[in-house]
Amino acid sequence: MNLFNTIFIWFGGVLTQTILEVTFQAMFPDEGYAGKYNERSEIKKLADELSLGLFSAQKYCEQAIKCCNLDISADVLETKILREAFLREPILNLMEELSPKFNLWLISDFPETWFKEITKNEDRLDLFLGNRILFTSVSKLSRMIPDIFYYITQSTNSPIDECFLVDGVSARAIEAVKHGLQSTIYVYPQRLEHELAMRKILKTDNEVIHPPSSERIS
Amino acid sequence: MIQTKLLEIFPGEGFAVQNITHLVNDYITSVGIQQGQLLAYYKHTTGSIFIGEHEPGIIADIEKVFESITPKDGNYFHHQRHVDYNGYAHIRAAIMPTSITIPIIDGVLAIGTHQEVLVIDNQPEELPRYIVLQVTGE
Repeated sequence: MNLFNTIFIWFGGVLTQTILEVTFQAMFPDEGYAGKYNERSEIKKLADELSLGLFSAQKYCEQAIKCCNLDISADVLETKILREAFLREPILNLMEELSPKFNLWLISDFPETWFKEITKNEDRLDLFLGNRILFTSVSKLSRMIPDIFYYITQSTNSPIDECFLVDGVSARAIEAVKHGLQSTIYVYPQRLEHELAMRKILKTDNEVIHPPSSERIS
Repeated sequence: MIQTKLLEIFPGEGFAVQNITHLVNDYITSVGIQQGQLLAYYKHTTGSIFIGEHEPGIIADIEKVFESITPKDGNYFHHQRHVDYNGYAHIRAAIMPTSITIPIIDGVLAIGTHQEVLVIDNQPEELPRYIVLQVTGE
């Protein structure tokens, strides 16, 4: 059983939506992805480049508008994105519970300006103030996977086998394990709590691994 | 009562896994069925739907096994058609299930503690994928 000291939580995809999700919600609030597969693919690519700091948030919005042929300004899209993004209450509560026992770090693939705007009214994120937020856009990584795993552990001076990653992107969480960084895939809050309890990161008196009648906990 | 829904997902490119347990549960809740069963049918030949645990280590192990028996860069007769070059994806799909049936008891899926409804797809590029969800019961 691993003894974890440090827990990394992705901002996009865990604490809030992914950049792709929030951009699509801002641009096509009632339509989803149906019939917009090329646009989805293009925006996903742009979002990845934004996360690596290859261009600014303003440029991202301009490019997203261009590839979807929308008749709005970059400023309007940015405002809509920031309005659509929300913080997941159960994850905030979970982080508050974990913070006294673990070194908690947030990894933000959102630009710093967006992060500040989305979180400005949330006091519970004060525990990350100072140097407990890693912005991928200033990391100078040329690729996200696998470089991000080494970047976050080295930046925080944490041995990789004492770290645990909570990631909403399935493929990235799987790659993390291949590189020696234990991880879980965020799908919904109760599932995450169950996973953290099984790994003894969250304390519980319930039998979570072999409960009676194989009942489902979450 | 029989009700059907077509679920659209984007599992990702290459070897991609998506957990759809919560989407299936949401559908069952919306239908309001109490006792019966759910059929989930995967409509593609490059992937599969199955019951498993969405734990990164397990998924990495499954990928390792697939890679050992059907490597992505292997030679496949399928490639001689020169339409696409995803022979490995078709073989992986052929040895995994395309449908699952789960009992519904008291309005919820009767899945066990660690069981989740997962989709694996091996298509080299990301494409939309469709799953037929059909509930039968009352």
